[in-house]
Amino acid sequence: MRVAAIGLGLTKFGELWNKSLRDIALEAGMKAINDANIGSSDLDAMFIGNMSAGRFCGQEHLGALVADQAGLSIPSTRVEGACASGSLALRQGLFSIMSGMHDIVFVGGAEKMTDISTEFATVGLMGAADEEWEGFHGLTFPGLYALMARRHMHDFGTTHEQLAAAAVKNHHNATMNADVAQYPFEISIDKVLNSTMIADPLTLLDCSPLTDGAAAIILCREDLAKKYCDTPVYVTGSGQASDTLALHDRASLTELKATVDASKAAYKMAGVSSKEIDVCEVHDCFTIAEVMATEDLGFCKKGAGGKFIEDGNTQIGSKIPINTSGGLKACGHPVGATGIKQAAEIVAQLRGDAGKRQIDGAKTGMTHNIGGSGATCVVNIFRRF
Amino acid sequence: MHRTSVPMLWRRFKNKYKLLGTHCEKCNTDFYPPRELCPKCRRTGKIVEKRFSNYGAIVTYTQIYAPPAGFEKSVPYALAIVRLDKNGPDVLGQVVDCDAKKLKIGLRVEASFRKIYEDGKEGIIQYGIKFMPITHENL
Repeated sequence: MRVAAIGLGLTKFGELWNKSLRDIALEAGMKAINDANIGSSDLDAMFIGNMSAGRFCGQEHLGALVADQAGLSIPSTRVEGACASGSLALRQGLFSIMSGMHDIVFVGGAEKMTDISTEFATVGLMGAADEEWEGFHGLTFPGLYALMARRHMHDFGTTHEQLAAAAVKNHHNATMNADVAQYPFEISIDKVLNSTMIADPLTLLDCSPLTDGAAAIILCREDLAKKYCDTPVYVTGSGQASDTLALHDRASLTELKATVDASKAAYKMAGVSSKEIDVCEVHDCFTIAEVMATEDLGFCKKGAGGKFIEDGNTQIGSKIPINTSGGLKACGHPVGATGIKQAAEIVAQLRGDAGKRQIDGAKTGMTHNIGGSGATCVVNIFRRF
Repeated sequence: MHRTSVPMLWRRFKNKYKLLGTHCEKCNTDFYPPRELCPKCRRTGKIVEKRFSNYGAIVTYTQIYAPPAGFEKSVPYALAIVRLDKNGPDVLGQVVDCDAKKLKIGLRVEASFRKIYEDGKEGIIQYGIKFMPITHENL
């Protein structure tokens, strides 16, 4: 039993001060329902990815909230795995159809992060790391990835210029995704190197922003998909893995083992290797994260990621286009929505709907979504036939 | 809004005020923070308490310029993962009393009991282990 994505919807990503969490969840959801040509009564269940509405907005119980806003009384469940919550919601939707329980399922993600101060948002995000042994000492998310970046530089000679090349490329891609992207403008290597220091060696422009945004996808049983959609895209592989919550408990600081494990499982299920991936959205919460993902997903050797990106291999039109949406860096990172946004970008690419950033002839695409500093990883593979 | 409560802190005093963790006697693996279940030996493991060395070397480090709530007064501050001596576990902590220019991978440090942060005006003052460069190793 294969599962098809038949509709998608995204809000603008950014500081949406005139919109609440429920506003953006409804907006993305209705766009996806319209795009899928279904009626709301066709839906059997909903899965909502959200990391921390309780800390960011004082609101829990997101499953029921989204069903309520949509005027529905179907089963609706919140799924949480820090910044990987969106991809986890997609996976739960996938399972619910594959099991035969449901025919058409709504999978969405939403996060509202700019209603509180940056300091409290920083504390809230640290809930994704080990609060007792990392947050306690004043560690932050940029700090966690800075610890990995420093070691990657030490072990492999990776330079800050190479890290910056990922951000520059993602900002360029975002200029072609201006309807959604938070920062659809160009930056330069110099600008990254000289921007405000956040956690040495990472500067402001090495970091993804705090973002409000929502995304939704309609999943459907394979044999019903053509009824609603001329260009269904199928989920052919899905893998998930876990690792220690705390960075200092891991054997390697320069590899995310959860990425390696989750991608192996997804490649196996889809029956493909990294060579057959035509377009990929990776979890670039920080530039070093994109470098490590490029290596851990098998696009290049361990330690070679910086040079691989600097040489242009991941640009649109090159060997393996990565983060055509602008990635977390330039499209924005509303944490619970990110995994669904990544999937929506890949579905758009495989449908041939990606406008100026379209990868010609893309048939197979992949999303890579990380929770915390690598304690959760979800990799999903999509294909058109 | 306070980050921690008294019981949250109190039940970890023992392990946070000194480098006291656990050890699996069956596979000879150290755990700090303490683990009650050995990931390798599972139910057949034998977990006992173990006090680790106060000395070690920096494996990686950063300097934080954008702090979480409660750490604003300390900016910038250094954080490092330190590999404790005698094949001890890797431990995260701040590095203090150290010129930022002297921070480097491999720098020898020792543990020191320090104030970590004040949890708001009415919150608890948190204490724990920080690291500082070793000043008397050759004595």
